[in-house]
Amino acid sequence: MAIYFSNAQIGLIRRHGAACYPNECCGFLLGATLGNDRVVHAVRPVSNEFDEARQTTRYLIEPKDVWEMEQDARAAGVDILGVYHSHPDHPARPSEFDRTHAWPSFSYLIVSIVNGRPREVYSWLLSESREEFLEERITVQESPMRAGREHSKWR
Amino acid sequence: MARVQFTRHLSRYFPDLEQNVEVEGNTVAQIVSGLNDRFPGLAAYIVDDQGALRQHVNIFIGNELIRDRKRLGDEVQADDSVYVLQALSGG
Repeated sequence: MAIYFSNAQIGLIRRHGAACYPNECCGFLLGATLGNDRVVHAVRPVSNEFDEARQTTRYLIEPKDVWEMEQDARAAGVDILGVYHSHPDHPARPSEFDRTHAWPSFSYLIVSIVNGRPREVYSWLLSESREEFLEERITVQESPMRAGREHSKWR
Repeated sequence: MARVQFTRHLSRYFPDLEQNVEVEGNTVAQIVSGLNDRFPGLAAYIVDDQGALRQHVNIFIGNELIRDRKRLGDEVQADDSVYVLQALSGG
């Protein structure tokens, strides 16, 4: 089970995380499922709508933003595969808050931002029991839908 | 009957779930119960064991977010559109 990104998509997420530092960034991962794998066709940054004073440790994508993105994705023939967000000055591992608010089957990509600089990126899947996150292998390609380098993490 | 639309995400678990489902009910709780009758197990994705709306789910009646997240007692009119949506959050 792997999720495929292009270099440009991962770069966009890393830059978004750095730009939002010390707050958390967030956005959508749009694409298609191929067997057990997922191919990201587009990354769509969105505004973090959590209470501004707590955006250093929380993110929120408003239901209406999710709804509008679902309509746009449907029109484009792709799915929302998951979301990404940043962990300012924390590892790219899901928090307990992430777990209790996660949807099974969604990919949750996290980029760690340390002192304003992007560090490691990991992707996670919530188990069906909702009790834990399992790491989802990230494969980064030079461009979408081409064979490329594999990474369990991307630094 | 009220017309219910869902986040597309739920169709991964309920492939037969239509984009628009017409359900009878005077409250959101009755709507959810009616949905579960037609799609067994669907309610578990929307409400918890106590019948309260799950943290990551929001329900709109028209453009209005429902107020009663614990008992889902908001009234629904026959010509209302009800939307079951995801709230995506974390930290």
